[in-house]
Amino acid sequence: MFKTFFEGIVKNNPVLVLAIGLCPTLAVSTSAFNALGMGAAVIFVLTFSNLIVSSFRKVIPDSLRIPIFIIVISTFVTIVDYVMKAYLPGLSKNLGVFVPLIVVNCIILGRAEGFAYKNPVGKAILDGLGSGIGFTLAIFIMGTIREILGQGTWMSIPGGFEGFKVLGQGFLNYPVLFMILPPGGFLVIAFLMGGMRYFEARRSA
Amino acid sequence: MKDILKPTFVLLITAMVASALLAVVYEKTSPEIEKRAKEKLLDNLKTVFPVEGAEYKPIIKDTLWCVEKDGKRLGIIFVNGMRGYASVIKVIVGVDTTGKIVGVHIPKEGLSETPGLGMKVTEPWFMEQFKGKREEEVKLKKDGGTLDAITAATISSRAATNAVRSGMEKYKKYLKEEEKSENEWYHKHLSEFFPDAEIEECGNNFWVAVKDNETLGSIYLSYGEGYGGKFGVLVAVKDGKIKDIYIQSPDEGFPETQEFGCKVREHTYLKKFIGISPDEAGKIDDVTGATITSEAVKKAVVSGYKRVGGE
Amino acid sequence: MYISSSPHIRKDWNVKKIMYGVVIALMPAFIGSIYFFGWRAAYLTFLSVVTAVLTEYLFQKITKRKITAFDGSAIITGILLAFNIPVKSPWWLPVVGSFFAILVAKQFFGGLGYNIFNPALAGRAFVMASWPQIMTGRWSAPLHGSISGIDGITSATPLNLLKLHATDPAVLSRINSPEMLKNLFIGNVGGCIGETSALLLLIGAIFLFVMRYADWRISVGYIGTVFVVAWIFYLTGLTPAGPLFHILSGGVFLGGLFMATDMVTSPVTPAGRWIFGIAGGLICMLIRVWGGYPEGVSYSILFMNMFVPLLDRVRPKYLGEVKK
Repeated sequence: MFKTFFEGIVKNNPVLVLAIGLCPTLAVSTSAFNALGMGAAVIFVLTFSNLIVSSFRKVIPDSLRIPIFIIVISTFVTIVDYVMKAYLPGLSKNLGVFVPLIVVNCIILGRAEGFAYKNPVGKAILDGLGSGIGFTLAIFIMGTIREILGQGTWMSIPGGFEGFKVLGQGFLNYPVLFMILPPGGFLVIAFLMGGMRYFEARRSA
Repeated sequence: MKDILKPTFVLLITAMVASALLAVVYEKTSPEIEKRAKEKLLDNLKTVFPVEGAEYKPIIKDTLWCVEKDGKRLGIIFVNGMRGYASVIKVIVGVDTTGKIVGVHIPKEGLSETPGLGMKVTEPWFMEQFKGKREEEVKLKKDGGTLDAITAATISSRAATNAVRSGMEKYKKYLKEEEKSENEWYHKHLSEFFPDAEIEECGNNFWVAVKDNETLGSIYLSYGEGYGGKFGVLVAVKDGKIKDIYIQSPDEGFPETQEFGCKVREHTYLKKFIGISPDEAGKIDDVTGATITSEAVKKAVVSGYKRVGGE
Repeated sequence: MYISSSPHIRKDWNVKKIMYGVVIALMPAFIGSIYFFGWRAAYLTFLSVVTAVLTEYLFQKITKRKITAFDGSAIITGILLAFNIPVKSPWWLPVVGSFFAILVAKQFFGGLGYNIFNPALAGRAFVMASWPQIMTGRWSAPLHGSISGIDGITSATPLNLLKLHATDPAVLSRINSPEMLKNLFIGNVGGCIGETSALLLLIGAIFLFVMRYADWRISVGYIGTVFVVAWIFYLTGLTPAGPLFHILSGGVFLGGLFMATDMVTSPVTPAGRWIFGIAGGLICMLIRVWGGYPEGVSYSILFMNMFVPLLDRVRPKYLGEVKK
């Protein structure tokens, strides 16, 4: 049973192994805090959409499943969007359009279609949590690397905590800006994916 | 038949449940979202013009406020934007009545200048240097002014500076309180709309009629640009509908021709306005031979209504 | 598929011979850079070259590949990268730039012959994106002249004059003056370490062309296009500077002669080379006139690098070829 849960985190990590959901991963992984916020939103939407889709999988007509998935997903995304705007306005401004865009994030539709629609509720929830945590982990690692190198801080919160100055004060004057620009995102994800492949190959060899 | 009905029904149910759920969430969160936005705005206004116990009254929605304390105008706050390197740089500026800058705030939100370069316009040292400057001093040193530019981000620094300066230029006429002359032509008409009520001034060219602590309606003054020049239109609104409308008479300076333009002042034309929402004034037919003037009247009604916030 | 990715293998030439030929061709400009900017220019170039060679060596050692770190190509990358940074850069800038150029832009793509982008330019793009405040804000005057190439104007390099002070009458009246053009040609102006002297770069490049180590078509296409487009823009009032100013200022000569002609990252057919050079020159001028940066040489070449596989298909029909 818990195999489902851990599969989504490592072996089938949506970002690093399946290479889906890359758009938000690249766009909002400019800081560790943003990445966590995005990850939390995705975990919530993924778990609940999996739960709903799985519980109603016997009543949803086959021909209508995609529109219904979309309605379910967009409902949860809108809820997250409203709640974030109301209670975490700073984070919501930072994530911007990428929260509403979770609607078309292929991880969520992919899990609904590929897993939740065919499996019982308990498994579907675990799968949602697992994939969500896998996504969060990947985006958080990226956010950490990019923020530390590109900004010299870690876990800085806009309008709040300044962040840990991991590389010292001197680094703050000349951070590697490249890392928080879009090409830096591609570079980091390439390194991470390459690393995953490398260890996967070594483990199975 | 079943193939059509069942999917329809299922989809209908899904959509209904989803919308119901969203309606509940919206109901719960929207006041909070609005409250946050208001707090944020007030915060910004207070940063650029910090005066204990001051009132920030909007003059132009989301763009211009006047700062008043004990009924005396201390200055204005405006929002202005200018294209920077990669986005529009928005500045919030407080100016006192002598024309000196009290404070400048450049919000990070929505700004997408290059991180580490153009983004530095949001750093305190950059915003601080505007304090106490007059319009002619608000220029980068390399353009003959007094402000330091951000190294290697001339375009962003220049855009921010220009946004401040052009805003000061644009809004400086609001620094002085307008003379409130009792002799203005419209004053004697105000009381005609709501005969028994008390007319209270509520901002720029906007009045509310109050009787026994109850608001009966409101009146706004708006100007139209006709064939011969500018003229004023007074509109009284009650429950969102136009109650009455009055256009400046030739004695009061109505500039249009007696022969054509003046036809818009006739009751047969003006009665078309009564009973509709000011938003819809655009739909009313024009007076034959006075198209420009009637268009001006309609435009004044609509734009004035928008200016006072649709209330 | 008709793509040959490594021209030095296609022609029966020794890689080492060509590479060291290019290094020799870069020497006049290198010596000139010491004369113009002092010993720090040599110091930064040295750091850059050492890092490049060392990175290549260590990568090949660790990944157990054939060691080709001393074939001269890494030295060229190191020199070109150093030539593309201001002399006031901190010491670590050429080190990081070279490291990135060799590791990411060259070795990760498979090493010499397989890299899509010119490694030195990729390295420059990396440091440019990372530390723009250094790369665009730390110009210094040459030891024996004025930073702007004009006496009395000490605020900006020639290209920055054009971008930021183009409305200043004092600048406008002298931007095309013989004094300005002379300084630009000799290299007695502010700018990156090795890019300022058109004369010395040209001497090196003629050596390359004579030895057939580089193809003149790309250079002529590139610099010629900058000249023609600048002339058109000058006549139509889009830029206040004349065509001579445009080809002599900034990195047009360094880019057009040494970086666009890099054998690995340029097309193999004569027609492809013409297109490569002309399109690159056009993009450079578009960036200069309408872009945010004052200079467009490096991005124009990087941009055209991407089209090389496509341009390699541009070739005359061979005898008896049947249309597919």
